[in-house]
Amino acid sequence: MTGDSEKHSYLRQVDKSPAPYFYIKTSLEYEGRGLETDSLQLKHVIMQSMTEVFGQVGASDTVDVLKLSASGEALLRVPSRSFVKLWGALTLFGKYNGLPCVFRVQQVSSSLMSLSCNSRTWDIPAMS
Amino acid sequence: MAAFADLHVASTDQQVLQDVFQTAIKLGFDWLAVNTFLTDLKGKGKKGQQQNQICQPEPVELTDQTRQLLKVEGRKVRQISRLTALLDDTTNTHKLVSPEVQAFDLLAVQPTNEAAFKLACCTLEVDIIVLNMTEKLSFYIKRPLVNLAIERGMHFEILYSPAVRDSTFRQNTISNALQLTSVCKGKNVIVSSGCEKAIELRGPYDLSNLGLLFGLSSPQSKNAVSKNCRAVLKHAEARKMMKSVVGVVKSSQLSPGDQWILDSKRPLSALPQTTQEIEQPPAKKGKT
Repeated sequence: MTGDSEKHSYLRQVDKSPAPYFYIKTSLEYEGRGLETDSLQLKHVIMQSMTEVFGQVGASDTVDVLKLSASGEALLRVPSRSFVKLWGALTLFGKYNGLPCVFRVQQVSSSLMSLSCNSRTWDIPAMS
Repeated sequence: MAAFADLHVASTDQQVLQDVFQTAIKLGFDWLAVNTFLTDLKGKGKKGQQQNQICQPEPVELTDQTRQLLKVEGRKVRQISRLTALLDDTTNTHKLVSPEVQAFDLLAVQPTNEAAFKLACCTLEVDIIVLNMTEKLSFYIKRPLVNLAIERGMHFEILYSPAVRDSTFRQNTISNALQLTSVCKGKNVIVSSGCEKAIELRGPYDLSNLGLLFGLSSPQSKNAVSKNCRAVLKHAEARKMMKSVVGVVKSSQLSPGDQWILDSKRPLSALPQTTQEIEQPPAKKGKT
């Protein structure tokens, strides 16, 4: 490599093993109201939804709330073996403390990087 | 890929429906069917008894906010009317061919016992068979009957919104869905909401994951919200044409989107102006 290209060189990593974790970007919405969750409560709600559908054995895998932004979007990390279970549990969750609520899943991915942008909600500036 | 469809939105008052439609469009559904539920197929009773009235389908007016959504995304949303009839016994099924029932785009039946299920699978001209999955089924779903229904192009529906509402319903829905998908091997299954409120709706990608819990494979569960729904609509279209391969439409009734078919059939000399433009450059003369 010449000195010039060395300045811009980057490390390319290809990992062909199965993904250890899956990441879910989601937000919890209550009916007719905004969201008022802190990360502790959110974690509690998620664990409750898992135990409701799959019981204690099914909910034994840890779900991490990596980030909870002010807009209510949460980033979850889950081992890939229980990814389908978690997503299914979030889908079937409909009530918390008697209040109707819903998890709207925006994006799922096996790599955290690809959650940085979402082509489905991409707004073409010329069209709006 | 076929567009996403939700073929069962319960018919409630207009305002709730508008709310449901807005949420559904935001979530990415392109085909939405509003369902009218008929608890009894009985026609005119003996003198004095009132007749079961079937109200005709009404389109849902979209709110300005919803239209704004469509403008930005450049999508086309289609509304479909649908009728579901409860099938308690095997009598009165002749009502299904009456003009007021045929006015609906989609026809579905919900058999409650084995005889009705057999009738629906073997003879009835309907598009969808719904089973009440919130309770334990009172009969076994038999493979020969299901295979026959699949051969006739009918689809089986799984409703997920009761599963969101209540935990007992959820348990029954999952067990019945597993039973159904093991019998029909995941073929000809559609997943739709049956929702009464917007909060019970789930996105199409959520549903294609939920299908995995219902015992479908991942392509099957994706088809359950897209391709199979399209097949249901085509089946309904074909049902209205009776037995035929080719349909005939009057040229005056052709939709504006299909006008090009007429133009392509005319001789070139009959086409206005544009032919001259084509003939002007010498290189293209041989081609025309």
